[in-house]
Order: sequence, then structure tokens, then C-alpha cells
Amino acid sequence: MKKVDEKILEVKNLQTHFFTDEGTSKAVNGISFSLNKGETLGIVGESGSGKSITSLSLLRLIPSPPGKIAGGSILFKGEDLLTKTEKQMRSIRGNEISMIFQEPMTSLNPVYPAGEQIAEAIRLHQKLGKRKHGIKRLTCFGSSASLHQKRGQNRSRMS
Amino acid sequence: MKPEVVINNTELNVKERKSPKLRHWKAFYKKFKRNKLALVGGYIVLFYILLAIFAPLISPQDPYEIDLVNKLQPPSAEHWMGTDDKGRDILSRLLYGTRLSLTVGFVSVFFGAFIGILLGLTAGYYGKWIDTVIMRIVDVLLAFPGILLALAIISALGPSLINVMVAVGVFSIPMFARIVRGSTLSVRKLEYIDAIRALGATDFTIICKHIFPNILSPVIVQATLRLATAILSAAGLSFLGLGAQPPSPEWGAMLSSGRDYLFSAPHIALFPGIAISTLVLGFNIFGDGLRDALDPRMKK
Amino acid sequence: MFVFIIRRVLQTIPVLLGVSLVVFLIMQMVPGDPATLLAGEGATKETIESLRHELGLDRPILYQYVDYVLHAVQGDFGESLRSSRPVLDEIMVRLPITLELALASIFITVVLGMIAGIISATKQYSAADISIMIVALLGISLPSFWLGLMLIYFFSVNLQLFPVSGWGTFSHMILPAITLGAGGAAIVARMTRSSMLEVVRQDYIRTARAKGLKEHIIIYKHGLKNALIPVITVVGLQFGALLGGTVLTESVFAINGLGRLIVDAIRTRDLPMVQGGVLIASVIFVFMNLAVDVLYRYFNKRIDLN
Repeated sequence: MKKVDEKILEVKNLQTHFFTDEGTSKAVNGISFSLNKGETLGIVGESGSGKSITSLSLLRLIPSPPGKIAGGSILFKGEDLLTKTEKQMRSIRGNEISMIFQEPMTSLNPVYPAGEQIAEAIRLHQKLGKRKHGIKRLTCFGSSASLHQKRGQNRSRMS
Repeated sequence: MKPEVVINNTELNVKERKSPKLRHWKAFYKKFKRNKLALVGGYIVLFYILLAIFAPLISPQDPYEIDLVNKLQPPSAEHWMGTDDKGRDILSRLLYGTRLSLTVGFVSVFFGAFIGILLGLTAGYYGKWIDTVIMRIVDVLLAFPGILLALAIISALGPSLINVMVAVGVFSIPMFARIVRGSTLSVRKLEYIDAIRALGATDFTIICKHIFPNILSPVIVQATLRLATAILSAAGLSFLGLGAQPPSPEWGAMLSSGRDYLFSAPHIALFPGIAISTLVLGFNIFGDGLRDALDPRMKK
Repeated sequence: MFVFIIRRVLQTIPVLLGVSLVVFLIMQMVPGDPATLLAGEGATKETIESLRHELGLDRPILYQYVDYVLHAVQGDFGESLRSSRPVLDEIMVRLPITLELALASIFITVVLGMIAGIISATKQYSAADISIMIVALLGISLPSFWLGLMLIYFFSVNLQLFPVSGWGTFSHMILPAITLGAGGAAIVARMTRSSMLEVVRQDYIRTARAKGLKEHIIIYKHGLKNALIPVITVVGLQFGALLGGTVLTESVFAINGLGRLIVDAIRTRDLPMVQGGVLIASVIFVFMNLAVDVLYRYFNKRIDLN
């Protein structure tokens, strides 16, 4: 904790709303927090309190429609992510900000091996060739086998 | 176990069951009304039904009157859709033909749905070997490619519009049986069916009062879409000369007579085709809309 | 996989027996006596009786059915009442033409249908999507025989691009294949679209997005393969509709295939021919379904779990 001042992430008054036929649902209504370099922040709350929506908002992955980031700002390394283009966001996703989803049964594509899917993000952003990174790490889990075979075993390890 | 508790429970149940139902239909109507395309489909179908009912009043001419002097006339002020190879007014024939197509569609789908529902309910409700036997029969009926089963039936019964209804009806049985069986199975497993049975309800009451209402919406959707298929199949069979016989103004038969004059008088084949397509389109989009409104998860 | 194929092949046997039984029973519903029909007008009672005996019609019905199946398995479907030639011989002359037509049409169904469906789904609510969906709705509503006639009118009569009827060259194939394949293409397009839209909502697509993958990689690598799995089943079912549809298309374009053979046989009340034709077309469809099931299984390994 040397560089206390170096804020890597600062969320100010973030509002993510869902506009449905039954009315507007304010899933995230004005959350603010900040995170310094090297710090770990845990957000705790009951289900439906907006933890996932907050995290998805950081990556700008809110399904739209019906969801929309209605207000606030997300400063990442001093730049507002809400003003970035989709292309700029792509180079941040899985590279500078990553998200590990719950439920590997549905969060991983059933037609590809799990290891390959994990390696995909690394390959993409570090411009590595196939099977260089990641996959080797995971071979001890037996992940190069098809997902459907090893899923049960991997599930606990990956989540 | 005290009697008051039981009475209170049933009262509560009735209340609970009624209000969601009402809400369900309101939601359905709201959803359906918002689907503009489906509404258009409904209007097309309604329009054709009205045409069929009032055909004798609105037909400009006698659909059977032969006028060889004016045969193969292109559309004109007197004959809006021209005349056919025997000088009959095509518009009038199409209007009368609406009655035939709608009748064939409704009768055959009703027939197919009735038997299909009966089979599906029996299979789904009683299960075990009855289910196996019925579903094997359904599998066999589905093993015939497309319209060929209907064709085989007609080959035995002989060509006529009545036999087309039978053939097309049989052709629809397996679809209904499958859908009804699936829905029956899922309802039958619910606990409240066991509860009702424990109260001494007969199989007949359970099927009629508790299972049937639950299978109704998929059946209505399927029946609407099936009407489109039935009308197409019946027109196809008549086109092949295996259905309605001349001088019947059946659309498929009219189209068939038009093919000989495709060079000199293409309008003879054109208008019956438009009539069939529009009606079938109406049923298709109406059925799509019903499906979306009744059960968004149901596909196919 | 191998066990699955064997089991699936064995499962077709009762279906095929059922199909043959249905065909056999339908022919039993024919009013009148086949022997009388065969003997022709003015035949004596003795001739008819001996013919009945010869055909085995005086024996119990179950016996007749077993006899029919035993002969059919050996390729003996009886003789055509009209030409007195073996039914199988006549069918074998016509079958290749129908299969050619069916394959050309299924090609149109699959390729056109999938491409249209993918475009529609990836550009949901765009002008392209809306027009494709309207055309697809028309596609499932147009009677194929009418579409065929209109194609002949525009492309053969007016523009003289293609021959009006017949079979043999590539240009003969185009209009009939479009006629027969259009309806299926419309269904496949609708199915592909809804399946794609369903897949795009799945969690693993969100995961792919979170990795920062490009949109087209997300769609084609992570979406398409999953989306096409249910489409395979639809294509299999379409093959059946298509095989039945050859009856109409061959009639419109005067193609001497199996479909036309069956229709002509119905008109001339050549029952053994109808029986044989319908049976063989059904057998082809049953085996086609078998192939689709194996393919489905291959693509959808998840079934293993269930």
C-alpha cells in the first residue's frame, strides 16, 4: 500500500436501469466506490441487490434493450469508460478488466473445450499463437477434453 | 386435519386459481393486440370467412354459368378477374371457392385435432404401455414423407373433396397427438393432480377439468397453423386432380385448369394462387401471433 | 457413438414394419375386389376366382400381410396392373430423377435458408431483416405448385431463360429446385433466425463479450455452431415434406420422377404401383431421418449427459 493515492477505478453515482413494459427497474441506483492499485474490493449483498449489474456495467455489458446506464461515471485509469467507443471497450474487456462469471455450465460455450475458451482471452489480447498459454496451465485439470465430459470436475475448480 | 381448515383451503385454492387465469387472459389479449402483424392475420381470416358466408350475395355472376363466346377473357370491367376456359367469371368462382377451402380446412383440422387430442391425452395420462403403443403409431404416421400419406389414403378411397378432408385430417393427427401428449405429461406430474385424485376425482373429471384447459393454448396455436397447411395440402391434391372434381370452383382445381392456358391466359392461374396464398398467409401470421401471445417459450 | 448408431438402426425396423402395415391396410380399404379389377370387364366368375387364389386374396389378411412384407424385403412389390412390369423396375427408372430434384432442392433450402436466417438475426429489426422475414412468411404461404407455374410464366414463357418442362440438363433443374426448395428455405430461415436470437441471449455469449472478442467472432464462432443444432432437425423434417412435395413439382414441370409415377398410378388405379411408390419414398425418408439423428448427435454432444 505504497501508492495510496493512485486510484485505478472510481465509480461515481452509477445508475443502471432496466426499462420494461411493467415499468422502470432501478437495478443500480447511485452506487459510488473507488479502488486503488493493488487493492481488493469485495461487494457483498443479497441476491438481486445489484452486484452483478454493477460489475456488468463496468464492462458495459448490460443487455440493451432493456438495460441502460442512465447516469454516473466509471473512471478507469482516469478515463471515463462510458464515453469510450465499442472498439476501445473491446481492448479493455478480458485484458484490463476481466470478469469470471458464475455458473460455468451456462457461461461456457458447450461446443468448445473449456481450456480453449479460457485461453481465447489471453491469446486475443497478447497476440499469442494457439496452445501457447493457458492451455498448458489447465492440462493438469484435464481441460483439453471436451467440456461436456469434464465439466462436472472442472466446475468446482473454475468457479 | 380439522374440517374447517380443509374448507378454508379449498376456498383459498379456488380464489387463487381464478385470478391468475383472468390475469392470464388479459395479458394474452394485451400482448396479442400489440402484435400488429398478428392482428392483420386475424383480419385476413375474418375477411375470408365473411366472403365465404356472403358469397352468393356478392358474387357478380353465376360461378357455374358457361359462356363459351367469352372464354379466356382477360380482366375487364365486366369480369374483374377475367373468365376461364369455359367463359365462367373467375371472381365469382373464387368467392364460392372460399367456402370450399375454408370448409376443407376447418373440417379436416377439426377431425385431425379431435383424434390427435384423444390419442395424446390417453397416451400422456395413462402412460406405460398405452403411451408406448400410441406413440409408436404416431411415429409410423410421421414416417410418411409429407403429403404422401394423404395421397395413399386418397388412392384407396378415390378422388373427392370429402376424401381429401379425411386424408388431410389423418395427416394432421400425429402433430396434435405429440403436442397434447407433451403438455399432458407435464401437467399430470404436478402435485395438485395427485391431490385431486386423492379427493376421489375420476380420471374423466381430471382429464376434462384439469388437464384439458392446460393443453388448450398449444392446441389452438397448432390448429391455426395447421389450417394453413391443410388448405395448402387440399389445394395441392385438387391441383393433382385427386380432390374436388370439375366443375367445382375449388381453388386448386381452378389453378390446375389454368396451367393449360399459361401462355394465352395467365390470369386463370394467377388469381386462384393469390387467393390461396393470402388466406394461408392470414392463418400463418395469425397463428404466429397467437403463439407469441399465448406461450412465448413455445417454438416451431 | 457406434452403439448409438446400431441402436438407432434397430429402432427403424418397427417403424418400417409399421409403415408397410399402414400402406397395406390402406390398400385393403379399397372398395371392390382387386381380382375383379385385374381381370377386367367381362371376366367369368371362374377366372376371377382363380385369380383370387393366384394372388392369395382368399387367404387370411394377416397371412397376406406377412407374405407382402416377405416379398417386399426381397424387392418384390408385385407387378404394375397397367404395364405388367415389376413395380420395383418402374420405380428404379424414376427414382434417380426424383432424388436429383430432392437434393437440388434441399441444397436451396439449406443454403438459402441459413444465409437468410443469419443475416436476419445479426441485423435484427433492420430493413434487411424485415424484408427477409416478410419473404419467408410468403414462402411458407405460397402453394408450391402455383409458385412453379408463375416461375414458368415469367422465366420460361416471358424471358425464355429456362425450359418450360422436362428433365436432363442443369437448366432444367433450376426452376423445379427453387419451386420445391422455397418453402423449406423459408422455414429454415425462420428457424435459424429464432435459434440465433435465442443463442445470442445465452450466458456464454456474454462471456465471449467479456473477453473482448470482436462481434463477428462472437456471432460466427460462439453463436452459429450452437444455433445450427436445432436447425439440423428442421432440415431433416423438411426433407420429408420435400420428398412428398416432388409429387406436385414433378406434375407442374412434367418431370418423369417417382412423384409423377405415384400420381399417375392413383389416376389409373394401379394399386401395387401406388403401394410400392409410397413405401419406397417412406423408406428413403426413414433412413434420411436416421442420418439426421446421427448428425444431430454428432453436433450436439451434450446429449451425452442426459
